[in-house]
Amino acid sequence: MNQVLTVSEFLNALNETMGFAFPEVIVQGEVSSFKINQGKWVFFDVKDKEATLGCFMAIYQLKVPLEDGMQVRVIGTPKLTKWGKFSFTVKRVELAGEGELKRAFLMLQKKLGDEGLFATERKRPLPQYPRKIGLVASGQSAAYADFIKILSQRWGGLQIQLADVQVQGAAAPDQVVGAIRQFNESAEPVDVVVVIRGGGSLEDLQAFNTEDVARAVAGSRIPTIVGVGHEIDVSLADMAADVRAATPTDAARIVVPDRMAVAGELDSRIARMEQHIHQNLLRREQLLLTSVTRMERFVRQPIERLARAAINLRRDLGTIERTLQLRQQHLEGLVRNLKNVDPKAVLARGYSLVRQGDKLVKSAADINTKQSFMIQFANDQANARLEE
Amino acid sequence: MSDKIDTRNKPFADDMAELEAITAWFESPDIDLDEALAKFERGMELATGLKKQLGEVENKIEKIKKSFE
Repeated sequence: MNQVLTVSEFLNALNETMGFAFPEVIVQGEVSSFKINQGKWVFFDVKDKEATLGCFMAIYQLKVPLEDGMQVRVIGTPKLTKWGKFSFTVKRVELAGEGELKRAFLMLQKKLGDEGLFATERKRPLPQYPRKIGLVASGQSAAYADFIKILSQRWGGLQIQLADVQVQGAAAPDQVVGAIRQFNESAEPVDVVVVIRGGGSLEDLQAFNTEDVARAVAGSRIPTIVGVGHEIDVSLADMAADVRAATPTDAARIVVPDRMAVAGELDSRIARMEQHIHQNLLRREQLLLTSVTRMERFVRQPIERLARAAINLRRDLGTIERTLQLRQQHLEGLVRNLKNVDPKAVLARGYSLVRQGDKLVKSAADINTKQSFMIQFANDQANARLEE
Repeated sequence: MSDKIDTRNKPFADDMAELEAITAWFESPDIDLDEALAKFERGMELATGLKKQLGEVENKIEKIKKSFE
């Protein structure tokens, strides 16, 4: 006689058996009848040409955008509900194939872009001279080694905090998100968060194209720079970052300045200051010179005028002297002439003057016979009377 | 201003910003010579300190303990 079970016991036994037989199954197929209930529960079918599998999952576990027609791999466990209905409880959905990844990428890009997550206005500048760098990378990767190498070539004295995470596989998104969050919650925050990963296929880079990672990068209070893959690769995390680096080494070049260039800048700053001081001194010297010249002119002009006046004066004096000389000569001539006409000189030559009273007698007829008259000689005189 | 300033404790960015401000001041017309000489001296001091910091070559790498696993 078989054991009689209650319904619950039977369903529990079946679930246990299935759980034991298929602890985790991966099933691949095409999505159809995709819908979300109450914003919490996700229902969809995965099917191939002949069969259909009903899937159920919580929305927080759905990390990739889904729509009907996509090829996916669902990872989960088979289960019977308490109503005896079969359901495949999905823990994770992976996109199966480049085409699907591309499609998911574009869907998510549009969604996050519409939200403004990639908007230029959100971008903040990175600190010019960071001291503490929060690095999200795989410590074993070539990308990490390259990044550190270039960083050290360019700049020193840095404190690099490495969050050694998986950058590929199912655990990668949560680890990257966790690392970014940890840097943001740190009591001693870093100056910049750098997220890097080397090149790979679209599937390899999938973690950086997930909504969670893109949102974590965009939501970081600390400025972010993301360098994922090769130059041609663009990830959603790149787009959400404050600064997008083409590659991990490019990120190293962006995040710190080059010490040689900075040394050159320091030199040129000093040189410019020196030049300004030199120019200032020159300007002052010129000003001083101008002032001195002006003062000199001010003093020199009257001196010159005086000198000219002195020369004029001297010339004038000469003229006057000459005039005086001429006049003197003239005078002397006159005196000589006068001397010639001096009556005394005439008298000296033997002539004599005849005066009667005050009058000079110029003719015998003028003589008053009744009076005496006087004859003057050169040295003496005589009284005379005309006899009749 | 002694030359005993510990440049290591002063972030590079702060000193650089001060030097940038000083050099910008020099670009203004009609600078006072006395002030210019004082500022130049300070600028030289900053530049020397910054160059010393540039000479630092070592970067410290520390693996953080993950709180998210």
